[in-house]
Amino acid sequence: MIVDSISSSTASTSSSSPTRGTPIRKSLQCAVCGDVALGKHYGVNACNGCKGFFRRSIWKNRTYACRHGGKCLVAKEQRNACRSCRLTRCLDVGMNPRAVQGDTVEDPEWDEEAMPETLSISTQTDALKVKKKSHTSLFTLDIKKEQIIDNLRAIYARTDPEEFWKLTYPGTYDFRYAFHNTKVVSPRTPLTPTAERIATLNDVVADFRRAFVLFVDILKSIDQLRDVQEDDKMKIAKSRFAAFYWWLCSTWSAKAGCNGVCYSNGSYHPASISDMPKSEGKHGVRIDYSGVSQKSLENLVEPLRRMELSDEERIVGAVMVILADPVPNVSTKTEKILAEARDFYLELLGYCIKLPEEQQGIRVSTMVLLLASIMELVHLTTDNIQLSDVLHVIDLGDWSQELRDHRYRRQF
Amino acid sequence: MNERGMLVDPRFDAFFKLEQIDDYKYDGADTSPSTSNGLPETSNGGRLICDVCGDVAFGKHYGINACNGCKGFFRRSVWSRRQYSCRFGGDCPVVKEHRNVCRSCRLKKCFEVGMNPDSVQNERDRNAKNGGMGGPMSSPTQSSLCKELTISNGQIKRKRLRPETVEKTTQTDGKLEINDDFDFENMQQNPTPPGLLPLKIERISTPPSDLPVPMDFSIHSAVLDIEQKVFYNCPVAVDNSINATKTPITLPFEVVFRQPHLVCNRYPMRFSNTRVLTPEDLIDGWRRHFTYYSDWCHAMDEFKALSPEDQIVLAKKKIILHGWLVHAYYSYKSGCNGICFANGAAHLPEGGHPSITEFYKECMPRYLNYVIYPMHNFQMDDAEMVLIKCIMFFSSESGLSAAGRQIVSAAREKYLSALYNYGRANKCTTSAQATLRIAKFMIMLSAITSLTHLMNEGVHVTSLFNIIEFDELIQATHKTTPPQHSPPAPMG
Repeated sequence: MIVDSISSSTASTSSSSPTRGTPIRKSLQCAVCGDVALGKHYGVNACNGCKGFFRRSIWKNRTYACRHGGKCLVAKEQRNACRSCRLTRCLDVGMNPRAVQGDTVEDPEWDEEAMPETLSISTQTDALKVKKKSHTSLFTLDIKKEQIIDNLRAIYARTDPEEFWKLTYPGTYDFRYAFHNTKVVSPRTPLTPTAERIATLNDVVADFRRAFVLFVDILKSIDQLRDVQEDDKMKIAKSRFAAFYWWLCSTWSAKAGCNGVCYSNGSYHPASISDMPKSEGKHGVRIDYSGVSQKSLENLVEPLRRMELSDEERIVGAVMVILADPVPNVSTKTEKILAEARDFYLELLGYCIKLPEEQQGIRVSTMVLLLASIMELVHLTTDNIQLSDVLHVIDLGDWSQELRDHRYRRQF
Repeated sequence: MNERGMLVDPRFDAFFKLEQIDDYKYDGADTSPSTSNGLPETSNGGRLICDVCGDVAFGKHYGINACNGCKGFFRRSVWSRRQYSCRFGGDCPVVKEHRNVCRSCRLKKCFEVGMNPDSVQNERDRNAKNGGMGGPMSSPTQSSLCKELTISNGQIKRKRLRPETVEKTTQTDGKLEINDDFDFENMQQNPTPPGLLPLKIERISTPPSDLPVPMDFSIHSAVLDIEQKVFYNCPVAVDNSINATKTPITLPFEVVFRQPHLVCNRYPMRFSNTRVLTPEDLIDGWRRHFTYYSDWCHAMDEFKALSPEDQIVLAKKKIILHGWLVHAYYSYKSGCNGICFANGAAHLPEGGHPSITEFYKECMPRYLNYVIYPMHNFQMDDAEMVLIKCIMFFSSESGLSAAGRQIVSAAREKYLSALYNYGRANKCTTSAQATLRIAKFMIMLSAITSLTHLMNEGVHVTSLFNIIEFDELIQATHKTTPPQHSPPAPMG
């Protein structure tokens, strides 16, 4: 209440100034309603009225509905008529919701004014302070979320020095060794999912390895998983890599706009057999025995394309995919840790979506619903790879044998 | 029928809404005298009505009965000599919930009902400490105010806090009242029993929602109605289908889906644990579910809008998913810790028929941990189950025509929105909780997809080694759908 009083009082002062002949700084005008602005607030020139209105709306997370078609005029004389259009205009002119925070400058005045007031006013002041404190903790939480997103971005952008790109490590390695020494699997070459050429067998194998290295880097960056014991960590890695790989390829395909499965090395696998060059046709058929490319295009890539994911949604969504589905045969403690991590990243995914509450909820749900399509593709791809193994079409390396056995036993 | 117990839900909802009222009263918002006194429709003993807007009046102000909001509005307008202009034709309704919208019409109505501008005291009273009360002032105070005006704006700002506080309180009361009544107007359109109306008002006013309430109400109640009609459509009173399992069904899916009675009679479904599941029970239960599924599909408007070819593609793809979801839900509702079938037989995690135990070996742990447990954890109810079923049914568009894809896509968005709003209104207090709840239901659908593939492999292996004699219809339904460009499998 005190804050509102201050804002209202200042507004009254501004509006009554012309009558008393006080000079007005004409250079500043409120970007929202055209009233006299006393400086920048939340990123734009704003009068005290619109500044306070915006702050209160953000604090209380208010949503308004316009009853006149959303086209009301927001001018100094009419800005109170429709709060929906006023808030919309605040956001349109560039007011930054994240800049709204507890106003520490007001504290001295609050204390001073509260002292001589009645008990009820003191109670009101205490309530305001409590609100300010809780809002500050929310602000701190947002900083942490931004740091996590930046960290994930850095993982995607991370590359090894170019002289490492052509090194190979002959020999036999088991899965655990490969997990902790990813250089034996693949160097960190730049991720360029541009789908410029049709994939060869070498492209497929190289992308499989590169995606695994990215997967391991992401898995190691999830704070909640640090306390998971080693055996369970290996089970998680074996169980969730396939789903992660599908999300990765599909989001790239959606972004590149290609008609098939997009890989990180600039190549793609066409969805239709007729698009395959003749020299690769024989292998192509065997690689895509179950028509997985076509299925992924219809059930995953096209929905993702329609959603037009932001970069943040894409990279946080990848972690959500890793954590969302349960992992069989892990300890109770690990299951609990995974559940907590899942809740956190679902919330983080919602945080990445700058939409009103309901639309945000539905968008998150639509993304999570795609997990069922991913699960189906993982099952079908397992049949694919199993058949390829029998026919010795692809040599994926000794280190991935455990990974494949894990899939053949349907441990995902 | 255990399902009859669903009738208890409305009473539970009533209690739930009662709790919401308490939450509303103590959520820290100022409770104005008008709000705490309810919403009087007529004046009774000692209750006065504002002549301008119909709110509760606290006596005469400026010559008429006026509420605090209109009293203050009139005074400020006279003080400021404001000139308002109406943007909507000059005939806006001035009622409690809308009076802030158009000040021009409000001021005009103040004059029309007889408010006397001469009764408003002059502006100097505005600067007094107790200006709102109109008390007298002493000369020293007046002198002090004059001195403050010449120093700085800050000083003026401080001195004006007290009278502004009084006015702000009035403004806040008005906003609260507007909020309540705005929702009240929306609720008038609901087909809600009169006794529940006051509860609805209090519940929905915190927080405000962008979605019109009637739409949300109609969607989940409509699909729930379809479910109940299909579930209880039982022209055959006695379960005599068990003997029919000895007759294999060789007709293709496309034929029997249109005539499900060829697969199984519509006997009453009893998802309960009255006996141990045998291979014959499994086949019989599978068939009864087939009939139930076919009836449900044909009752859905979006399904009827699809072309016949699209209908077969979609129905064939989703039947096993539907089976897992409904068997899990009705098992959970019956309190059974296993899989219950429509004929009263059940398979539990421990023991049971050897062939059935072998058949469900891969599925049972996943089923219990990833489907049954979340249902318990979230206390899933009938409305949520039917909405999740619709979302699952319309979740993918693979293999459909262009027109079919549009229908399926629109249906999915519709039911996702309905499920979110149902959870938001009935189960969760914040949007984040509602989002998390619906996201976890979607994760459950992923687990059900996995169970479907495991079961398909189970049917294949079981038939291969003659552990259970599945007929051609069951085997064909459990085959993985071939890709669209592959040659179709020969029929019959």
